[in-house]
Parts: sequence; structure tokens; C-alpha cells
Amino acid sequence: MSIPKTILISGDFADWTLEGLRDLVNRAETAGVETIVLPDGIAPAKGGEGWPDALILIGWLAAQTSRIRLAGMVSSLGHQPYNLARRLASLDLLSRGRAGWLVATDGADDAYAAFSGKVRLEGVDQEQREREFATVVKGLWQSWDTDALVFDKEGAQFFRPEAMHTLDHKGEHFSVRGPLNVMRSPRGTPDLLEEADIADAVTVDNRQAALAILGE
Amino acid sequence: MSRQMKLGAFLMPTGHHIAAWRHPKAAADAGIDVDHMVRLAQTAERGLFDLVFFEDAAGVREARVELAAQTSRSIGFEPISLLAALAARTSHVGLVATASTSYNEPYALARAFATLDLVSGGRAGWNLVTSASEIEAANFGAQGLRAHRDRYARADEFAKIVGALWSPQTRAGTIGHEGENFVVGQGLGIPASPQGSPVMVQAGASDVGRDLAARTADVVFVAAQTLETAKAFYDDVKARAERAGRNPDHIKILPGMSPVVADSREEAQAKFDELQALIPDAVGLALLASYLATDALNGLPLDGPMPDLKASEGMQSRQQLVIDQSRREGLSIRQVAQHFAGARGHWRLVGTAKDVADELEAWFTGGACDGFNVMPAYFPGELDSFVERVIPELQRRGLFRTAYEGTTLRGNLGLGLPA
Repeated sequence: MSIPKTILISGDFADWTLEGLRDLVNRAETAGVETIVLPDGIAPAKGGEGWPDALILIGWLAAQTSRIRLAGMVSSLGHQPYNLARRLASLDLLSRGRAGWLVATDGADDAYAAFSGKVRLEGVDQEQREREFATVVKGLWQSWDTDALVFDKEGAQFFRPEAMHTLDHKGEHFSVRGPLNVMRSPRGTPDLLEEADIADAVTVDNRQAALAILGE
Repeated sequence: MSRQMKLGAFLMPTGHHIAAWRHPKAAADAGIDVDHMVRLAQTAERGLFDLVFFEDAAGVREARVELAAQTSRSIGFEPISLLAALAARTSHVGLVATASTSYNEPYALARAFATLDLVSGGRAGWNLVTSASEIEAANFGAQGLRAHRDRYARADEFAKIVGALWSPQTRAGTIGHEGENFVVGQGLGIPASPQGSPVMVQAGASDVGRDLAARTADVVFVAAQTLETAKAFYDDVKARAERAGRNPDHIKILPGMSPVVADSREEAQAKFDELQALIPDAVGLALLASYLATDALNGLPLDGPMPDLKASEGMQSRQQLVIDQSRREGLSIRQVAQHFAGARGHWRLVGTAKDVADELEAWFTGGACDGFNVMPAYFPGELDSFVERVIPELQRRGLFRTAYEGTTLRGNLGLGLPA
């Protein structure tokens, strides 16, 4: 059996547990899997089981791995582009260039109910909002040139002013000046994945299924 | 056992002194080096600190880029994601991050902290702040700032929702909240950590801020420069908590304290002077102006007195502190700027381990606090100094633990499980 490039974690969190998830990610890294995609399923609108926050799980898993790419399938509905761009940039820095974002579109009704949709999103074209959201996030990731930081203690110059860039985005849904207050990672920016990028991903619903895929 | 201090380690990448990054022994690249941040958290854990704490701003704090470029404050890790990484590399120390109610959604924030609580085995805490800066507002499409009371009305509703989302009773069910700012239907539906729910921290010292803290906070950070002002704050917040029907022992009040410690007073003073000499005039002045939320200092002679300032919409309580102090001591603008640049309006102690322990003991036994939020002038040096010199001195006096009581933040703070 060949090892898949990408494993998409799915199913109920109760069937995984934190330890099980960490164990799987470690084994997948050893086996040569390139990317793990974590779900960010919020609890359904009528109550019930949800998943922990994918991006926080990534921070925790990143500290316990060294090569595997960790992506979160996160909806933009409950977030502001500045906050999400910042958290992803931070994850990319602390994982040394292994963080990714797959824009989630399923579960939109649940997200609407959880994130004050009635207050914030009534009458909003959500696809259009999402496109603008991604544009802002990508723009914010260009806030700092790779060689911006000079750390010149004698000359009191921490960074080169011309290497920091404001975004000054003014759109239909968002108005964001920037810059981001997180330095980019040496590899550039986090990965912004699309459905096509994970077309060959193998979806697993629990740890046993995942171990079987890895031939264990 | 007699009452013991609770200690927070207020971590920043390079240090609390504005010129910390320029110090020869400071790690200037700390804001991009996760290993450095891990070492700081592990040092705090070695020192048996209750918690490590990170402040936050959703923006580059200094809008004038030439000034920003002379400090290290423009970049750093986003605190909650950083703490998730630190959770994997520590085992006992509490992990507290600041996040604003002004530019987040309660469901998203409650879920992020509940996840941090889960991966850390019950060590997470949230420092609730409302945002006062135009710089942050510009990153969230907001047209100017809401009035102080409005910010707190939103914060109040926000805190109620987060409390319900973290509550063991409503965690997996429905919340059914419909308020002025938020509509939230369902619970988080994720498991609770061993401490039940993350610890609630607050730092607002204004009247509405104190009320919110008295009703909802487990830990309160405060800036105070004298034992008397600290005690007045302490008594007031404890009384408010009691009026709100809470056990006043379940709200821990920790004033900020910025230490510079050495084997002799002369050495400690020399270390501090070395840092002060590294502050560029323009940077010190800008820091003061931003704390006062004013541009009234522009163009005034640096050797002249502080102008008479009107209270702004921004940081009401801290502003008063700065103005009071400059009047009391007849300081020039440069002196005030330098004075506050060192500890940003917090209390500063420069001396031997015994000197520092004496002062901390006086405040603690004098009924002014339950412990301290320690703000080292530069990292890693002054955190190491505190752990190696001051902690053992406090332990000898029976004022601080010699081993962690438990593995959760609530357990170590002596808060018990949430209701």
C-alpha cells in the first residue's frame, strides 16, 4: 500500500482524542505523509459534538513535529481577516514554514448561528465576502520583506522602515490598514490551499482507520 | 500553611524596558525565535511561577514607521497560537493570553481558549481587554473608537457569552443568547479540561473595568506605584467582589512589578542606567504620548514641565497615574518619558534580591496584593536573575511555594473548580 501525500482528518473528535491525534500525526510524519488537514467543525446549530479549534491544535502539534505540513480547514465566517492572517502567520513562524489554510465552506449554517450571523452577516453575499477575506489575508502576509529585520543594536535600527508595508485595503466588507504585526517566516507565507490541492487526500474518520492507511 | 504569593511572569520577546532589545545580552531576534520563547516559559516553570502572561495588540502599535523601526515592539508571535506551542513544551505553568472583546467573536474566542485549555491539560487563561487604540481600529474597518462605556457594554455581553460557552452545564447544549451585539445559538461541544474552564483575567482599572473584574475575573492585573494606591485598589475590588456575591479570596490581585536585580545595589543601578541610556529620546516620548493617548506633547521642550492634560477616551486610569506622578515629583517631560519607558507605568524595583524581596513582602503582608505580575526589564537575563536570586529568597521566607500544588492553573492559584 502506498502512503498518501495528504490525510484529511474527519469524524467525531471523541473517536480521536488529543493523544490519538498527536500519535497519528507523529506516525504520519515518520511514514512520509506530506500534509495533515484538520477539520474545524464547530458544534452543529442544534447543539452536540464539535471539534477543538484547528489552528490552536496546529500550534500544539507543530511543537511536537518537525517536517509535516499542518493545515486547518477553517471557515472565514467567524473571523476577521486581520486576526486570521495573523494567527496563520504566527503558526507558520513557529512551525518553521509548515502552516496552511484550507478555506472551509461547508457548515456555513452552523457557523452563521455561532458567530452572530443575525447581527453581522444578514444580507451579506457570503461568497463575495469570502473572496475579499482571502484577498486581505494574502495582502497582509506581504507586510514585511524577507530581509526587513536588521537588529542593529548600535545604530538603534530594529527593522528597515522601507521594508514594512501597509495594505490600505478598502473594500465592500473589510477595511484593513495593516501591516501585520507578525514577521513572515523564512519560506515566505503560509500555504493557502484550495480543494484542488487536496483532491488526492485520503479521508479518515478515526485513529484505527488512519493507522490502517499507514500500514500499521 | 501561611498564605503564599501568586506570581505571574509577564513575557515579551525582548523585555519590558523599551530599549531592552539593544542591551548587549538581550536576544534581539526573540520575536521570530520560538525556541527563545520556549526557554522563557521553561525558566518561569523552573521558578514555579503560577503563570506566564502575554499582552496583545492587533496591529503595529507605533504608526510612525521611523519610530517603530527603533524598537522591537512591531513584531512578535500571536499569543494564543504561541501558547499552544508552549503547552507542548511545559507541564505545570499557567498559560495566559490577552485578547480583545472589541475585535473578536465570543464563540471563536471561547473556542480558541477552550482548545488551549484542553491541549495544556487545564492551564489556560484569558486576559479580557477592550481595545482603545485607533491603530487597532484601522485594521477592523471601524470608524473611530466607541465611547468608553460602549466598549465595556460589549465586553460585558461578550464575557457573559464566553462564561456560558465554558460552563460545564451549557458547554454541550445550547446557549440561546440574543443580545445587542451578539447572537449565539449553540455550545462549544468540545470536552472540558481538568480545570473545568479557563481562568478569567482582567486589567482594566477604571470604574466600569473594576465592576466587570469584580463580577467575572479570577485574576486581576493592576499598575500601581505605591503600597497605598495598590491597597486602595485591592480593598475596593475585593469589596466589589463581595457585593457581587463572590468569595473575595477567589479573585487574585497581582500588581505589575518590573525588577532589575544584582548582587549589589550599585550593580543593579548600573544595569538599570545602562538600559536607560539606550532609550532614544523620540522613542521614550512616543511611548509616553501613546499611553496618554495625546498629541499634546508634540513640540513642547523636553526639559519643560508636563502640560495640563484632559482625560481621553483611551486609557483613563493609567493616564491619571502618569499625570499624578509627574505633578507629585515635579518632573520634566523627558524625565517622565524615561521614567515610564522603563516599566510603562508599572512599579519598578532596582536592587539586590533581598531589597526586592523586602518590598514584595511589605506589599504582600501589608494587604496590598495577592502576589505580583513580574515584568523583567530584558530577556532572558532579568527573568533568570529573578528565578535564581529572588525566588529562593521568597521561599526562605515562606512567602512562595517550593513545589507546584497541582497541574492546573486553577489548582495552583487556589481557585477551586468553576461553579
